[in-house]
Amino acid sequence: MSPAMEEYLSTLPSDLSLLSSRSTAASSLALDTVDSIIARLELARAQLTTPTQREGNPGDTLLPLSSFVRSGNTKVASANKEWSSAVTRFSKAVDKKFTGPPQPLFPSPPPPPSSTTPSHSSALDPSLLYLTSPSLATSTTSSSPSPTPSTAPFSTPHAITSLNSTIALHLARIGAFDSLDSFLSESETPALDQHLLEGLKELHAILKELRQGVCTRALQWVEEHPEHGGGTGAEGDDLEFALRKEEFIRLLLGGSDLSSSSSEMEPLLPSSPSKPSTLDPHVHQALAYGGQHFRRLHTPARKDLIAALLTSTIYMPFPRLLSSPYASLYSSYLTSPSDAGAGAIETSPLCATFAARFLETLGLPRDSALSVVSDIGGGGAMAKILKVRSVMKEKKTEWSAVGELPVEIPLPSTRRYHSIFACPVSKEQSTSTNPPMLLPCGHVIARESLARLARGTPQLKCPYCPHVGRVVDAVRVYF
Amino acid sequence: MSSSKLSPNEVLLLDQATLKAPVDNLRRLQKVTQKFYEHNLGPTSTFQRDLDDVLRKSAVASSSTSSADTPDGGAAQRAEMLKTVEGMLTKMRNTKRKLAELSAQSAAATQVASARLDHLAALPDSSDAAGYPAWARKRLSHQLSDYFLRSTPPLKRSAAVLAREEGIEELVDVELWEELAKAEKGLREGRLEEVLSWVGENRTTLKKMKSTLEFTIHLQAYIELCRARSLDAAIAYVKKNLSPVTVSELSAGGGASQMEELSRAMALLAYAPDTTCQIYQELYSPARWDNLLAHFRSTFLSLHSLPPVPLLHMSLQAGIASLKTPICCPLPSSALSTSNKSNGNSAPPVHPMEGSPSAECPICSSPLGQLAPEVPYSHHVNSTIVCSISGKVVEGDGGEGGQLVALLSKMTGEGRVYSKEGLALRASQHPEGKLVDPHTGEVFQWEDMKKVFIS
Ligand SMILES: [Zn+2]
Ligand SMILES: [Zn+2]
Repeated sequence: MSPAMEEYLSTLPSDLSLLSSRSTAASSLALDTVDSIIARLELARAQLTTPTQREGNPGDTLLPLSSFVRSGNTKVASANKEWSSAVTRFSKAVDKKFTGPPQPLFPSPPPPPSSTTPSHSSALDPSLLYLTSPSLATSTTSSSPSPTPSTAPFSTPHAITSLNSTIALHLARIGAFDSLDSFLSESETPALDQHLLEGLKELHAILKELRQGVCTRALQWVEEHPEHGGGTGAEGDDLEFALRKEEFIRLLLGGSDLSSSSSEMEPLLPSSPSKPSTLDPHVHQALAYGGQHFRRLHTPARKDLIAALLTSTIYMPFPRLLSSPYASLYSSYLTSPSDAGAGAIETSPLCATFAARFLETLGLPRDSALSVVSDIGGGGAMAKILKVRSVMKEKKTEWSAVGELPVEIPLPSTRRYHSIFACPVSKEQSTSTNPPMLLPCGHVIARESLARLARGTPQLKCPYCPHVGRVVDAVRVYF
Repeated sequence: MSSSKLSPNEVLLLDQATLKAPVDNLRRLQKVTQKFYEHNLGPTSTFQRDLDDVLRKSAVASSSTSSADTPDGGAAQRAEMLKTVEGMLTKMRNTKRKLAELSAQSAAATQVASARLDHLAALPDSSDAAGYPAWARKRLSHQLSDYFLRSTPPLKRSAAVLAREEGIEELVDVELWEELAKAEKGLREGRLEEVLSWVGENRTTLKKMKSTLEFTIHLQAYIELCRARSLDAAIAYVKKNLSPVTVSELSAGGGASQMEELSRAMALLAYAPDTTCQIYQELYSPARWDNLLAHFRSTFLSLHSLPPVPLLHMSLQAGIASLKTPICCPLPSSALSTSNKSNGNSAPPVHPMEGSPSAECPICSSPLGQLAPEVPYSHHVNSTIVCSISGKVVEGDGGEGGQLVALLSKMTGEGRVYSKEGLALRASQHPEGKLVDPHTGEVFQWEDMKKVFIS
């Protein structure tokens, strides 16, 4: 747990564990009490069913029961009281931490204008009307006029259809195909494109194999789509090589017990480094595979890794390999893929790269739109928008009718999709009427700033470097 | 501006309800268990009475057996005692079974609470952390199931299948949604029993919330009796459920407006549903049922700390507003014309932007863009240049994302800015290795690339 989270949760975890132990204690005390009562009653019954008093007098058995029950009840009552107070304590801590849900961020357009309420912003586009009524949803529990459902966001048939088709694609993208089937039929959302669906199913089948360390289908796919995975060229083209490397290692370790933390870990020198292939057919197989593929994929950058992979085979078997100079290449294969390893491979760069390449061929972006947008929203944007809204309320200003958030919501750079140019001189965003101009020195300012700085002369000194050039040499650029 | 830090306060805004239902359940089970024990073993229980009874008989028996000459009487006593003891045994065995059941339920409820707490606690402190994608996926799946269960009609099967497929069963409050659906079904079919029974179970909390729901329900019941012209029943109903004392108890702030509404409704005793008087027509209006339904739903959700709209919609509103640019979603023409004027105390106007839609941008390239007109545009004050080839943010001067370069067209005299890395990648994919402006198709020499610096 992160320190921030520890601070945030505060006493919740300890309150819950107190509740848990008191609940168990009270329950078992009650059960024990009843058990003892049953035992005594059974004894009394045995005494009553035998005609003689060999078994003892039932009265003698039953008489202490009365006081046992009384003292048992007292004990159980006090355990219950402890339990109840732990429940109250936990419940109070929860209420204190979770004060209630936020209201919708942007009240949607009010229902079609009724005759009684004149629209004070009728000059505006109707799609922006919501900005003028910030407090529609504040009083859900006030008297009779209850909130009209039509003001809920994304509730027009068109919005619902669009959202549902985004959800359908998302479910297919994450591989939740059962959910997808159910969702499509229950929500009457049109089916996904058949080609797309088949493709995503194939992708998830391959990823499932990859997570188990099997590269066969992934490699087959790469061979069928050389433009998306193979090659020895630019950075990012490592997919085939990475897969070949995995396959090489899989072949090499094919006969090894990976889960055993073997006892024969003492560092041994390779016994017969000159002829390693005579001992282990797996080594033989791996070397043949490496010979077939690594030569073709050989690049200066991969030279050392390929050499290390091939040389390391002389240290087989696996336990010895792990104490060899090449141990770092293999240490991650030590645990069996069924436990800790599985999660690690799930997020492994190899799966991610493969998925991205595969999705490219389907014409899909790397990440699911629904994930990206809801992550940004839930990852802090909502809190920031709520905060500025409350500040605006204090200042009695309302959302501008012109529809831009009054604050910048920080986005990770992987979530920036459009270029924004703000003139470093005027701080204004460029527009087609005030476009960015590239000066001969390479600096860029907006056209209006350029005109202002030149003051009608044909010369301009760059505000960011010593360069002096002609205004006419500035070039309008697009990003 | 970029950010990867995750603050629990901000990120868990939509998880306010996560622990509420488990807490309610834990509290209920504690009370039920305690009451059950007291009822079955306490001083006023049948068990106590039986025990006292059998002890009395035993005392009598032992005093009489000393005189050994009434064996028949002793045997009868013993038979009676045996019968009582056997009855007590049966009762205790049932009590034990039920207690064990309750104990198992408590353990399960604790397990749910603890699983949910663990889920919250598993939020990493950075979106770059290895565990974040899995956490975010779980949260999104939970939000999807919330959306499914809120839909009309609820997509119950989809929610169940998704919970199983994504392993989030412990995060979904199926019973809660079933409770909601049950009462709503009643309301849709013109019945008030279900919703009244829900109100009965939650009266304390509703009072704390100053809810007027119960008043509204009773008023509707009264109106229905008037509609059926069962006037005696209507009067009796008001006397029983809507007396001034009750009304002030059922209302916020003394209930003056409720009393007013009630006194207006009393006139329905005189006005039949076919009245032409508008005030009374409104009271008879079927739209009141729709309002009651909405009133109940919002009360129900708020009682369970759930927002009035789906969690998913909350996330999407904020997410779309953070991303939406005029490129993703063109400005409405009317807004364009006002954007240059100053609007008093307004927030920044929308900045018109140049550029083309991006296949990676979720607003440009997915149907989510269709939701965008309902939320504001994003606001950015600093330059961020995204290379249209690599899709990466280029900080300029060879730092993160590479070097920005411009290709200046000899035809138009205008320039286009890309990352050098993006152009190089394109050239490497070109059959002749040529440097081509992907936007205009114009061919350039490597030395034509002009370095660009964004301050
Ligand atoms: Zn300069
Ligand atoms: Zn876009």
